Amino acid sequence: MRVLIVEDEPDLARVLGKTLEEDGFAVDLAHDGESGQHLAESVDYDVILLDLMLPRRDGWTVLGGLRKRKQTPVLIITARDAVGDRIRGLDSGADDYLVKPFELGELRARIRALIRRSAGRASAILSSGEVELDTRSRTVRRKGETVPLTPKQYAVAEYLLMHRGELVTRAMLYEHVYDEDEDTLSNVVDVYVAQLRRKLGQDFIRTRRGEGYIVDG
Amino acid sequence: MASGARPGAARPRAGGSIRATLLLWYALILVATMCAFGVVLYSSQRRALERELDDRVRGHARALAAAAEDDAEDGIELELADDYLAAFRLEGEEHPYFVIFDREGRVAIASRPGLDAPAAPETGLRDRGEYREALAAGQDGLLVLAGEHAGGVRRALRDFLALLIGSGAAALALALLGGFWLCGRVLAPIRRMSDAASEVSEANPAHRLNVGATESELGRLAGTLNEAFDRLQAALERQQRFIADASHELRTPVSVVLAGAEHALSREREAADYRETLQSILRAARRMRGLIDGLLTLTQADSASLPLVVAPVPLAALLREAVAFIEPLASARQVALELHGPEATVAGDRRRLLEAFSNLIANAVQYNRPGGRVRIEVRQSDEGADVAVADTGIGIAPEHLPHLFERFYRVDPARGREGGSGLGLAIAEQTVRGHGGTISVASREGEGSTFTVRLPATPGAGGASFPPGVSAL
Repeated sequence: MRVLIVEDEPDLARVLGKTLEEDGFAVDLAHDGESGQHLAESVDYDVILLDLMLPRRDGWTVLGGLRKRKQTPVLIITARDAVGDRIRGLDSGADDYLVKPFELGELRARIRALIRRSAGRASAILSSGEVELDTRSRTVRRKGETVPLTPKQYAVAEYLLMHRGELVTRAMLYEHVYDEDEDTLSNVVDVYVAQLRRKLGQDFIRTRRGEGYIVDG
Repeated sequence: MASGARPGAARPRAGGSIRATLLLWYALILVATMCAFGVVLYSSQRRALERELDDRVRGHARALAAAAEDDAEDGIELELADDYLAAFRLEGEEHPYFVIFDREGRVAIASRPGLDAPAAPETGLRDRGEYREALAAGQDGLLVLAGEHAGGVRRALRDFLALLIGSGAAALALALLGGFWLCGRVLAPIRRMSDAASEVSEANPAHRLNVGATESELGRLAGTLNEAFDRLQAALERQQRFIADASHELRTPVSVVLAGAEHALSREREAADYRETLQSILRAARRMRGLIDGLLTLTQADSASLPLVVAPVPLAALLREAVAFIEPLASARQVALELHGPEATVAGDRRRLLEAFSNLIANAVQYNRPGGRVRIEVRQSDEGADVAVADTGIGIAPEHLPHLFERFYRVDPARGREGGSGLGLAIAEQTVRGHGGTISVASREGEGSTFTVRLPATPGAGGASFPPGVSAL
C-alpha cells in the first residue's frame, strides 16, 4: 500500500512516515500544499494523510483540486478541532478526520479502515482459498499455520488480496508497493509473486499472461 | 465556571425578602403613626369629656345656687322646674346629685338621701373620690354643691379607646394588604428582569433583557444590565477564542512528542534513531515552552498580577542589549541589524521593555529576506521617545494590518511553524500599552514593514500596573 503524507511540521511528517514504513507502507512526504497536490494527482495512492494548515496552498484547496480528478481516500490530520472545521473537511471530500494529537494506533486503524472501504471490503481479515491475511496484526496464515513474510512480500499479498477477483497489473503492484525514493526495476514484483507462490501455494496467484495477476475472490 | 451550583440557587428569591422587609417597615411606620395619632385623639377626647363634666357640675351648682333662697319662714326653696330637678332624684351612683348647705353648714337639702358630701370653705371644683363636685355660693349664705360620678367619663373613654384600636387595626390590615399588593406590582418588573437575567447564561449568552417593556427607571436598569452582559459576553468570547487558539497551537508539538515517543518505543532501535527522535521531541518541547511562557506573560498581565517595575530606562542601552540578543538569529538569516539615534531615557519596566523590543526585532528578522537589514531608530520628543523598527522584508498585506497584534494571528498560517509562538507582537503591544504608549505599523508589500513604538517620558494613567480588564484574555 502506498501513502502520501502532506504535513508541514517536518518532525511529525518524518515520524509518521517511519511508522507507516515499518507497517509495510510505501510512504511519500510533501511539506507544502503545492507539492502535495502535485503528488496526489500524479500517483495512485491508497490513502493520503492531509494537514489543513499548509504553506503555499491550504489543505481544503488541495482536497478540492484532487477531488476533481481522483477518488483517493483522504484522511485529514489537523490541529483544528472545531466541529465546523470537521464538517467543512468532510464536506470538501475528505473520507475521515483525525484531530491532533492522536495515538499512532488510532491513525493506523483509520488508515486500514479507509483502504478497506475504498477496496469495498468490510472485514479486516482478507481471505482467498486456504490463505487468510489479517490486516491488523499484519500476519498471513495458510491452512491455519502462520507463514512468515518480509514486509514487501506482505505488501504485495495484501494488495492482491484487497483487490481479489480483479486484475492487478505489474505497474499497479509496483506503484502501490514502492515509494518515489525506491529505485528498483518493476520486474522485482515478479520476484515477490514467485516467493509468495512458494510460501502460500502455486494456485494462490494466477498469472494472466501479458496483463497481470489475479487472486481468486 | 467551576462552581457546580445551579445558577440562581444561591440567589435570594426576587421580591421575597424585599417585599417582607418593605412590608415590615411599612407596618412599623403605620403603627407608630397610628399610635401617635391615637394618643393625641384619646387625650383630647379625654380632656373634652372632663371639661364637659366640669361644665355640667359647675352649671348645676350655679343654677341651683341662683335658684335657692333661704326664706325665714318657709325654709329653703328651690325655684326650679321639676323636670330639671327630677334628674337629681334618680337613685343610683351614676346620676347627678346636689346638696344645699345652710348658713351654718348643715345639710339643708340633699337631692337624694344618704349623701355625705361634706361642705367646704372654698367654692369651685373638686374631686371627692370617684365623684366630681362643684361648690357655689348661693343667696342668703347658702352653699350649693353639685356632683356627678366620673364613671361615665371613664366608660366613654374606654369605649372610645376600643373604637380607636378596632378601627386602627382594621385600617392597618387594609393598608398592609394594599401595601402587599403594591409591593407585588412594583416588584413584578424586577422579578421579570431577574428571571430574564438568569436566562443569560453560558448556554445562552446572547439572551438580553427586554428594555422596552419595563418602566422608566427599571428600563434604564435593564439597559445598564444589558450593556454589562454585552461586555461580559465579549470578554467570554475573547477568552474562549484565546483558549481554543492556545490549545490549537499546542496540538502539533504534542503530536510530535506523542507520535515520536510511541514510534521509538514500538521496538528496539539503533542509537541514532533514538537520538533523532529525542531531538525532535526536544524541539517540540522547546516550542511548547515558548508558547507557555508567552501565555503566562499575557494572562498575568491581563489579570494585572504582573505589575510594571518602573524606573528610568536608558533606551539606547536597552536596544543594544536587545540587538545583541537577536544577533545570532540575524546572522543565521543573513540579516544586518543597525541601531541609530540619541541616548533617550524613558520611565518603564526594563525587563518588560527588553522583551517587547526583542520580540519586535526578532519579528523583523524572521520575516526579512537573506541579505536584508533591520534598522532600529530612536527619536526623542518632548512627550517621550519613538522607537522605529524597520525591516526590508516581504511586507504585510493591508488586510492583515488591523489584526497584527491579535494573539496567535498569523499572516501566513504556516509561517508560524518556524517562527515563534504567535504571541510576540501581542505581548509587545500589551507591554507598550501598559506603559501608556502606543504601537503602530506601516507596511508596503515587497518592500518591508516599520513598527513604531511611542513611549511617554512617564508612564501613562495606568500607573505602575496594566490597566485591569482592558484586554481580558
